[in-house]
Amino acid sequence: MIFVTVGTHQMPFNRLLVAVDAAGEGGLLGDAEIVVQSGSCTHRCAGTRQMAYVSGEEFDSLLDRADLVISHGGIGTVLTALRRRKHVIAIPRLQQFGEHNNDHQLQVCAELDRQHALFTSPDTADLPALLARDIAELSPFDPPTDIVDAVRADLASFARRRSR
Amino acid sequence: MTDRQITICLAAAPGGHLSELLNLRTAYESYPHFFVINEHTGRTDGRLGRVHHVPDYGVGTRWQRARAIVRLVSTSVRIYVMERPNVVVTTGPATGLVLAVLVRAAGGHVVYVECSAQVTVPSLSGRAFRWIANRFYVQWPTLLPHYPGAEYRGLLL
Repeated sequence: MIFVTVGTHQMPFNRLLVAVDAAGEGGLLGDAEIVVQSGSCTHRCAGTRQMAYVSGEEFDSLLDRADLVISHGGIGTVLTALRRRKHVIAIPRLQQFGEHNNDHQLQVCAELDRQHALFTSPDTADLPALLARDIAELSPFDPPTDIVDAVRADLASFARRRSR
Repeated sequence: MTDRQITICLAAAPGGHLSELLNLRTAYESYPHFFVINEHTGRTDGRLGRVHHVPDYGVGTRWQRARAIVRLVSTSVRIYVMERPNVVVTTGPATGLVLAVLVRAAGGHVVYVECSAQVTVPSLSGRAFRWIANRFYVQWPTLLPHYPGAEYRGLLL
């Protein structure tokens, strides 16, 4: 199953859905089931199950079932997919197209690309090329996970120093 | 021996900054704490407990923002006197900056976490907190060269 998601940002991201449609018409998506979470987008993808929003549980379930995730570059969505070791193609929302207030998604995608965690391009015309990339090029995204522990230990240490 | 308790001021702008701060809950929740959040149009989550609001200094004309910054300073001083925090934990941007300066000046402890949206470019608030925070965390290793002394321990999301 291919899961396409644009996140819950209030600005639309039709550019991604149009590209997914074009890829589908070009036969690049095979005969996979395609599920689209379209947020505030107005574009309707042909031959897909499309919903504007899904519950947290349904989102997790769709993510689990997906063989490929085609996503906007929102760090929350991308991170959740990468933690589940999904094959991710991320297209960043860009300010110039009215898709976001700034271009931080571009930075996020570029850095994850540098770490070989996913495939990305700011240009949706590259989607066919991204679909053709070999999943063997990707490495698991395994950042440290102990920031909460570090802060907890730091606060405990300060509390101990205060009580002497 | 009595534990001289720490009182934590948790400061963040509403939205992404606040969500990331809340992911530190298991680190701060066992201590007395209160939130400082910028005034905003949405409803503040009632589950946060004690919340103080400071002006939103980012909107309006130059004059409006200048006046908001002055009010930010006076409001922060008032909160400091009322709550007497000795720790500030903040994910930015500048919501807790004045309180952090006051807490630090009084021998307290300041923890700053750069927001996950900052991947390659340091934020303005990060550049300020660099000089104030006792502990400074970045969420992307690409920022480490910009913040000597900062630690990278992964993402808060």
